[in-house]
Amino acid sequence: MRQQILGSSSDDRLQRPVPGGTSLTTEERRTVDRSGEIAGWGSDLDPAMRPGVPRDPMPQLGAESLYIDVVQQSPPHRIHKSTEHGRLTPVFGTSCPPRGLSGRMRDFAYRFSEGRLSRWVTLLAADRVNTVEGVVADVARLRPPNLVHEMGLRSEWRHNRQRVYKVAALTGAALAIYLLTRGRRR
Amino acid sequence: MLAMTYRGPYRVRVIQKPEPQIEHPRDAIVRVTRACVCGSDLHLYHGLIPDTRVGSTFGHEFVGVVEQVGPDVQKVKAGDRVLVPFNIFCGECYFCQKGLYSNCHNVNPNATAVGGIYGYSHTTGGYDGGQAQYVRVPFADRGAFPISDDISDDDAVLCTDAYPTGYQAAEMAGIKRGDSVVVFGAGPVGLFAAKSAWFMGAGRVLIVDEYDYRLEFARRFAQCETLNFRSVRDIVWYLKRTSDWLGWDAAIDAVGCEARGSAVQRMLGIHPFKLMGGVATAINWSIDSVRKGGVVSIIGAYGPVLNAVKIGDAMNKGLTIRSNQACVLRYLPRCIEHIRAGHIRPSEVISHRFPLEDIGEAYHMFSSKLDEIIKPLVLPPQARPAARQLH
Repeated sequence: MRQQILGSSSDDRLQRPVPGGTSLTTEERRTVDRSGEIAGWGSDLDPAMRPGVPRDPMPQLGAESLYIDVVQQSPPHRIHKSTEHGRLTPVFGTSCPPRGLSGRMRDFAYRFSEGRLSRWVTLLAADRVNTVEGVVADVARLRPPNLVHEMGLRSEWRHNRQRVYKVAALTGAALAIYLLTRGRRR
Repeated sequence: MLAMTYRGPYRVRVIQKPEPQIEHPRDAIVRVTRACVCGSDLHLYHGLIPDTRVGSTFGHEFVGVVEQVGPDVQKVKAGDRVLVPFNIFCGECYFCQKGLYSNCHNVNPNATAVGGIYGYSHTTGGYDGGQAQYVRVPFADRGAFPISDDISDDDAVLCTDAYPTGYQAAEMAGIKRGDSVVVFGAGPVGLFAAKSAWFMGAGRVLIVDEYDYRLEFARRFAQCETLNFRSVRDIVWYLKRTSDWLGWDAAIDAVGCEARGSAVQRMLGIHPFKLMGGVATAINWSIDSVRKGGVVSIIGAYGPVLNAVKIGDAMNKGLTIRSNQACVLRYLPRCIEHIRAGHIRPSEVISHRFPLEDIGEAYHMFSSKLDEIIKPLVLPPQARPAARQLH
């Protein structure tokens, strides 16, 4: 397929027309029935069979149902709330409390609405700072990260050995060049 | 308990973590028996989703057994075998009453643009996910869906996200009898979207990807036409030509923010710059390849920042663009009917099984597309003896 030449001028198009495609004609569309060859073909042809039709089945609701009347979950630590929310939601996740410098950055980011780029860029920057904080904490506990296991690199050895050899060869070559040039400078 | 935790881009670690507790009277605790790694988990793994904190546990596709329930939980009880839709939702608010469970307003304090999702950063509520031995399930009466005996755990775990997501993508495409449908992405969601397009009476379905092994699987699983976009010089031209210059009736973006095919988009959206909410190449190809007045269905996930989308072309062509995170509960009953009718067996897409302890390899292999991987399944220690018996 790669050698196909795009016809880009009127001459090309007229002199050497590209063969047509394989789309259905109107008549074929009206009568198409592939149920014999594809299991379940057409079983949801009728929109009534499709759970999402109509998509907005109850348009008459008002704002009173936005926040439901249930017990409020109590925050075990600081929970960030979007400025676009009218209140803290009744339920929320408590996975990782904001801590350290990354936590401060997240506190700052959540002052902006979701429409502001500053919010998202600050959060992404906080994520990177958080990664460094994680490594520092590991090292402080004298448990440096096991990168081979964490990055799943054993699978690279099992399933993509050529790439491992390639990376090893390139690293070796770079190291050799470095050592040679360093020796010459001396 | 044993749980996967995020340590930074491309790094995950399995650690002992405290078991989750009932934090709200409507919570339940579920013991996980199967979890999957989703393509959208890779966006987290690659560090593309803002507010992904070190120490958080991913996993929004899981099934299990109810271990404990809060005092206000009435329908589900300890011992029930349940599948848990990836959306966290109250089932009662303005949006839930409209069936827009993925847009629930009562479960994510961190953002209003997206609802709550298990194990998907603090941007979606800060909940820990199911790539662990146990997980907290809020609003359990709605969020834990009992599994009947005729549905296997392997099929059920695909019903928590990938299969209903693919189905909704096809439904949002507004397919009519004989329509031509092009699906971008031959990952599990794209495969289920292609399969579902047939259910809705499509006349032609073409699936586009860059991995030949995935396309080969797509031909077998979804009986559709396939195209490796690397094999053509200009994909939009090719798609126009193969639709007799009309354009396709509908296009489905089942790729999301890490699409390949445009070096400029990847440079600006992923590496080295992170100026956009990922790469919008699949959306742009969708816009360009559908006919005037056609439909673009976006089910691929994107970050919350701006994207370089060809909205001018969409406007000039009079396109309809539909999108959402899948409202799983809305689609589950119909999706399960298709399984029972023998129209589809979702578990066919599971290509690899990993013990939870080796989840780092699952992520790396899925991310690097090693060993022809399509869908990795993760088994916590307590589920492994049963899994051996089943397979």
